[in-house]
Amino acid sequence: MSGPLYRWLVRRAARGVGAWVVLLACYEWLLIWIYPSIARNHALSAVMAGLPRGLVAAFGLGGGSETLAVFLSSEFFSFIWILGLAGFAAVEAARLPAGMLERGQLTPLLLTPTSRRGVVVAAAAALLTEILALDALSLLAAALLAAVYGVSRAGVDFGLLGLGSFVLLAFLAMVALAASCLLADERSALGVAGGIGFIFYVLDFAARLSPRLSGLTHLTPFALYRPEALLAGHAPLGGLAGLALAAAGLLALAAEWFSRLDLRMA
Amino acid sequence: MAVPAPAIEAADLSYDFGGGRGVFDLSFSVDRGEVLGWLGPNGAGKTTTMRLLTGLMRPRRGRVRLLGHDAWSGRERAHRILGYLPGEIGLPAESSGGAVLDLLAAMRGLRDRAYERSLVDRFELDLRAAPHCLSKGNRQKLGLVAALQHDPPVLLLDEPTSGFDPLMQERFVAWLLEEKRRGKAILLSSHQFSEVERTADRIAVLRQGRMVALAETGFLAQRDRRGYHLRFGGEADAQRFAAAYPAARVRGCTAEVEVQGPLRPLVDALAGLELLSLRERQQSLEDAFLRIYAAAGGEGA
Ligand SMILES: Nc1ncnc2c1ncn2[C@@H]1O[C@H](COP(=O)(O)OP(=O)(O)OP(=O)(O)O)[C@@H](O)[C@H]1O
Ligand SMILES: [Mg+2]
Repeated sequence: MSGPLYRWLVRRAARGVGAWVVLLACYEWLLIWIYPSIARNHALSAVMAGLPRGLVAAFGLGGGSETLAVFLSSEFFSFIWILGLAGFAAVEAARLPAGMLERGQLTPLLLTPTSRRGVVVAAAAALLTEILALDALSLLAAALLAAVYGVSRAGVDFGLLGLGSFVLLAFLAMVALAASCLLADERSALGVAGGIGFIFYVLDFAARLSPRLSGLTHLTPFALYRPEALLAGHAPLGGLAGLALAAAGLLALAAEWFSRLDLRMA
Repeated sequence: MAVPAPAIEAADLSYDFGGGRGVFDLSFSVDRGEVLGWLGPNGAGKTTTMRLLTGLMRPRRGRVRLLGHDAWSGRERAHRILGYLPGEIGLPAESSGGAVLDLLAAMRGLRDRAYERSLVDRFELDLRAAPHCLSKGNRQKLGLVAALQHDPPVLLLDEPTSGFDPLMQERFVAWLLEEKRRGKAILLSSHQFSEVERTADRIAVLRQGRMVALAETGFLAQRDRRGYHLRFGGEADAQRFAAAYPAARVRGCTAEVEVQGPLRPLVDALAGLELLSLRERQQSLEDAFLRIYAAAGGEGA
């Protein structure tokens, strides 16, 4: 890996990451601020009780809104937050190497003695650092906001949620990075990574919707990410370890492929 | 005693883009302290050759060695001794030219940046401006310093002065001659014939991906033909001249001749004729190459 390239990439992404953290924190602030009024809203619970059980489970609404953890996981962590971070990872991965390569911006870097593998590994390390920062800082913001608003955080394990989400995001980021290296084309890389992520998400959604489709959980990494369970302190550690290993495998594949690529267009 | 290997050595280098495009069976070498002019019309394959030499592209056939390192399989080692200035310069997005140079220097593990500073001073590069705000010529200068900051012994320069004003072109030629004296091996592609004529020891001409000429610059200059424009007192004299010197092209009372070698036959043919004026047109290397280029009929012909 190229240390200077890694530091340069992280420094370059810092402002964007900061903006995202502020945006996510604002959203969290809104949710935590309105949470007490929703928790008291029994009419809503009554509506939920009338819904088919499968649908309720699919939307992650199973437990109603009686705890902050359940409320945040259904409204935020299982949808907007995780998909937002995954989208961020896909865009960043498509930009480096594919996008920079297309624009000729990578050529001078590839002409240094840094190996192409080293460039890809630095790109991956920077990407993981950015995701970790986004993930940790937005969870920290949620914890702080909950404390400020005096909402009970009893039995809410933000640390485990951070771990689970990070491993899932790292895997999705390496899928995107592999697409970026293999296709060497920014748009197609983004399209492929977005498509794969979407399919994974839909498979998981279908599995939650119907018990008959529960076998699909073996096909999607999203099944390892259940915000409610993670917040409650239950993590599928074995599955997450496997996912981390798969991410490392994808990175090795991407770096190897990229080092053999015939760069007609760079 | 071992003869030192050439700094750049290409053997049977081929890359086929399909449709007859690419480069085919190029074999050539460049020694230390030598400039090889790399000429050819648009689309001839000059840039493609250089990209094969950098290890960005993988040869379909043949191989390249740079100071003994294979350009493809020994890419990282080759890059230590290689400076490549692309024809189209891409630079990482940064706030200033200086920041771009800092990044590249760090990636090269470059501590001593005296050479880089000498280039910056020499070409009057402003390091504060952001790369994307630079004018064409200034961007070219930044690209040059970025590519050569590590003072590499092997240089690949693809149209290095495009966008340079005449003053900078002069400085560039002076700089190139100095680098040559310092023992660098230089492959120079350019559409500026005067620049090539003044710096290159040998010149290779590519046409549709193949090398059609490779000769000493001096040899090509010697082969240069001079042209003369003659004006006679009357058409009768012009006709008599045409009879005495069949190679002449006569129109009315004027004639055009091209002379290769000694002038004596021309002078003899003029004896006794009423010659009003005689103008010499010195044909430059440029004229010679324009003929080769025209014969090539440009890209895809
Ligand atoms: N990425 C590519 N894909 C397909 N064909 C290409 C590609 N790059 C170059 N070519 C073709 O290869 C041939 C050689 O191109 P090259 O860029 O090497 O020419 P050149 O001699 O540098 O021309 P110029 O003087 O215009 O810079 C051209 O016919 C060109 O169309
Ligand atoms: Mg070119």
